[in-house]
Amino acid sequence: MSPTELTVASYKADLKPIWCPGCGDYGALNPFYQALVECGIEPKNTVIVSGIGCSGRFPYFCKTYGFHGVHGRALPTAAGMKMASPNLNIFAVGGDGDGLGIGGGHIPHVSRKNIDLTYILLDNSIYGLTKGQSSPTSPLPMSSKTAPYGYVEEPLNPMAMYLAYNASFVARGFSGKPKQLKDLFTKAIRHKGFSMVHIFSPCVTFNKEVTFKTFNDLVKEIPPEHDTTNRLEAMRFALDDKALWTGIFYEVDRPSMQDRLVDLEQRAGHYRDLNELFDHFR
Amino acid sequence: MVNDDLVVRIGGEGGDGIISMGEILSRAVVRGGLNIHAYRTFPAEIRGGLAMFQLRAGSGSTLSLKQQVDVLLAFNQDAYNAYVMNVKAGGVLLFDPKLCQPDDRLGGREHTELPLEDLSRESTGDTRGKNMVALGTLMFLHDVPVSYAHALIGEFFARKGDEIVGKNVRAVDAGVAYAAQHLQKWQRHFRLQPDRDQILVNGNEAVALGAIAAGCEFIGGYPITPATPVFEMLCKELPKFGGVAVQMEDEIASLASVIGASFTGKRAMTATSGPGLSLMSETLNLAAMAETPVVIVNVQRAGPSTGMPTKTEQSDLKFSIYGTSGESPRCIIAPISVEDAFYQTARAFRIAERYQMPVIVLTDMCLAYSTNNIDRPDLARIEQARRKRPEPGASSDTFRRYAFTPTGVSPMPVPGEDDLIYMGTGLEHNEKGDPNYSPAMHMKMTEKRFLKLKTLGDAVTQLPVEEHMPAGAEIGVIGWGSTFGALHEAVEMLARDDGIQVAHLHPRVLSPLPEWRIRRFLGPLKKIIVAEENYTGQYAHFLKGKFGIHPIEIHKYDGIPFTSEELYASLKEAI
Repeated sequence: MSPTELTVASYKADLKPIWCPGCGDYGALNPFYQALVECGIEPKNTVIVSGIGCSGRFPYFCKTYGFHGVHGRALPTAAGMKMASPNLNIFAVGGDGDGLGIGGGHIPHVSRKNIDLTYILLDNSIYGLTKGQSSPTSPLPMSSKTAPYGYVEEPLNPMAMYLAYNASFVARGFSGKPKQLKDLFTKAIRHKGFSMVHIFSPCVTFNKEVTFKTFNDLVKEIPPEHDTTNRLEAMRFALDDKALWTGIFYEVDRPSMQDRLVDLEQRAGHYRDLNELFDHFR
Repeated sequence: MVNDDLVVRIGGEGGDGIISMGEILSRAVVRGGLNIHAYRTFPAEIRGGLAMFQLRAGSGSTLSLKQQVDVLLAFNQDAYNAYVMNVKAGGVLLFDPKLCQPDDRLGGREHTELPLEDLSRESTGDTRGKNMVALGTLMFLHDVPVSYAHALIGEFFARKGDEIVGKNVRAVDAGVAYAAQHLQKWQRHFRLQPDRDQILVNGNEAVALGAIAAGCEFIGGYPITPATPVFEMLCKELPKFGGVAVQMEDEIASLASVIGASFTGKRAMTATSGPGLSLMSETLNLAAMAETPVVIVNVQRAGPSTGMPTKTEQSDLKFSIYGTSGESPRCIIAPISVEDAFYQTARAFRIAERYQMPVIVLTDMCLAYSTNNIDRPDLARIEQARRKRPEPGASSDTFRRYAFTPTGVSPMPVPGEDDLIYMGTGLEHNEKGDPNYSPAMHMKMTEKRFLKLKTLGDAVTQLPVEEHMPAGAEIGVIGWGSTFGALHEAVEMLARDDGIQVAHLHPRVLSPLPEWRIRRFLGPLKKIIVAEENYTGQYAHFLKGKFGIHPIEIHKYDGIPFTSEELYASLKEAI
């Protein structure tokens, strides 16, 4: 299939999504298909990797190669794919539990390596697949099945975290705003290096506090005059406690892991065969 | 002949240059035509503390470390105190009276002065060349032409310039001259076979070279003693063969990245030790469930938790075979020697690719840091295997990634090359890879995964095992992994010194086990002994369960490898 023949239907898997009716994740999936069309991403050259959680089912609904791994490890698995096979288009998908709880330790390192892949984090501030426990982004003092007397922990500020980690592309969207999301996905895919797309994706079944209404009230688009190469300004949007900003916070062009691996290989030089290396062990 | 060798131990301060001297000495005597087994221990501190290097050299085979030494060269009092009792009756202690005061003249152990510092100062102007003085002395004792040491000094110190090379050569010559005058009595004469096409590697290096030979294309790793050198060497060498070596943020990420690389069609591995393997246990299961080929090298160290990182043990066997949730197939291979580590690592890649499952190469600290001279491997013997790919023309509508087949092995597409998209998954799934929790499907998929192990088991039982079965033997000993050399020599000693014929079996593939081979070995024997370096008798337990035998078990769990003398005594007692 040539990129010109691709349509949204080219990416829709036969398996129908099993998310709850009204789930925010549908709002992310459709614009994702559209962005794949827009960027001419060929299914056979593409792998979507996920971990565990409602987000973990994302790749099953996309007609590309997919890998559904263990909880929290989508990023390093995706990283291995891209480092070993740089010609593939690699995506990782996670939720706030998978990506910021159990797997939160991997984001800084993929950021540092600047591996050319897009990470989609679907944040619903709750553990949905396990039916309603607190997550790293659950607000204080939201009660849940594991916080029956109210949550006693501060929520993470993921945007500030990605910026502090110096991810080379940092954006946030909202499932309720699919047009903006399509644009963010498209730019993330075209970005050379690690692109982080954080999405407010409300859970309509288990989270009665952080809802579509919450975001409809609080979400504001970052104004077009924002200089996306200014990390400090980006941080102001991330730390603003009066609004939840969406859009591209930060985008910088710097060498990706792949660029650096190509340089490294040049510096290392080449052996004709293993016998040349054996000679060093005489 | 077992005793046709010279065993030398050099002990001193971590910063005395003993280890680098030992490396030059090893290479020099091998180039000069001897066989060697070299071993080193590590000071607990990064610098300082006691460092030990031991060289066993001879014309015959030198398969193991020795407990008793012919020559002890003590660079300081600590080394003297620690090792004096290891000198054989009739052996010699060489010491610098300025660095070490022997407090009593032990019976049967001759003490001879070797003024390392003075000789270094006289020949080079300072005392830093004392390790080179020792090198010259030892070259003389082995009766190997000193020109081999000179050449190696030129190679080792080339970058430091002619002056440094010259100084080191003068220190070596001072050592030779002194030895010729004072230590003639201790010189040994061997039949030398110079100019053989051999290489000198330790177990870790052999593993790394085996991986390259097998066509490894990716390593994701995380430093951990004593496996770090495997990773370091591949960081250095793999890019020169077009491969990628990456340090990840932890062991979980390491194996995850390896699974990712393998999913895209590349031969991929990681190298770790017990605590790292513990962290990998979940991702190991993912590789088994998603049927992704991966090679994991586990260089075992001693004890649970942090334990003793710089000591050896064979205590991860059960963990390697069983240590994951649910039930998943994997293959465990334990190389029996340094040379074997090369070939078995290469085999691990072949098995991983052919059977699409995790393969654990189980070595240990002892093997990792044992150095042997081995014949230059014949690369034509190493097949760079690739996983089974879909038939050309397969249609994506009907393609089944996890198809049931007579061997259990299903075709695995390579993204970007095959237009046969599918989901690799750790969820229970149907033949296509879609989630499926039906009772019948879970049973069939479990059977499919274990059918691969059975197919592999049938192939493994055809492989040659290391087996010694003297006519009429009624007693047999079984070991695994790095203890091969010491056991082999202990069995030889029993035959030679006591006229007792003991059979010896040392399987390489530990799981799935070569069942028919083991049954055939056990058949004629009346008494079975299993010797291993752990407390609970892990392999013995495995054999007991499988074959209903009641072996006598020899366990060693002090963190120090078996020596042949020790095994000889233990076997004799058991018999």
